[in-house]
Amino acid sequence: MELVVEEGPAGVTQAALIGRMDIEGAQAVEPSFSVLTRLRRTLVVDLSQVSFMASMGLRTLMVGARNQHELGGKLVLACPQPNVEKVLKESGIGEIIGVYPTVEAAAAAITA
Amino acid sequence: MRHRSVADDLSDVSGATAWVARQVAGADLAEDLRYNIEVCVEEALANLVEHARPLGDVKDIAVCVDADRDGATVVVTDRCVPFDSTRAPPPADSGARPVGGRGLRLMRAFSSELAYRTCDGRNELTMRFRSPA
Repeated sequence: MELVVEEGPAGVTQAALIGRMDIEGAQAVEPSFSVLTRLRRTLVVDLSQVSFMASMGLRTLMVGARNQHELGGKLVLACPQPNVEKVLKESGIGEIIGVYPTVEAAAAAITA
Repeated sequence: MRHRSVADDLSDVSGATAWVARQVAGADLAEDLRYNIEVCVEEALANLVEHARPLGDVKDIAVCVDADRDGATVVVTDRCVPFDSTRAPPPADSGARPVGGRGLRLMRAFSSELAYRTCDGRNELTMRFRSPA
């Protein structure tokens, strides 16, 4: 599991998660993701290269969103693959953390 | 049915889930169904490792799988204090949801059928996944 971070326009940080967000993947990326969510106030998490997501991965995202909220910031998700999107929807996470079809739409929503 | 023991450690849950994925690979099931199976197996095993208490010295967790082109059946067994996840209430639907607790929702949404029973100190969670007609 990888985390690739770049600074997008308008001060929005874009973080791409790459790989499987299963137990192993979530545990591998959690330390760096946690640090990121405590340092950046507006974060778009690009899920386009996440091939698998289950509750451990969801937990990592939720903790990140909570960290952002405590900073007065916001975390949103972008471009989930169909099966990952299904997990976000069925778990109800999508009702708490915004999910957008593109990184651009996510960035626009977060800065609106 | 093929059988694999699972260590009481999250590090073995990924391995066990991958083992189940390999067992069903030969059944030519749709990608969506195979995904659903992996999600449910990971949830069921992670729940046991993280939350279950053994009745005796060890949890004795195992997973069995059988698959054909009509679908798959996965049975997770253990010797822990029984917890019927098929009857546990789903997380409260409020704006302040807990960080965890979503695994049960996923298992119910992603399987065709869930059944739980306890017999002679051994619990069995049976998950069925049916291919679309």
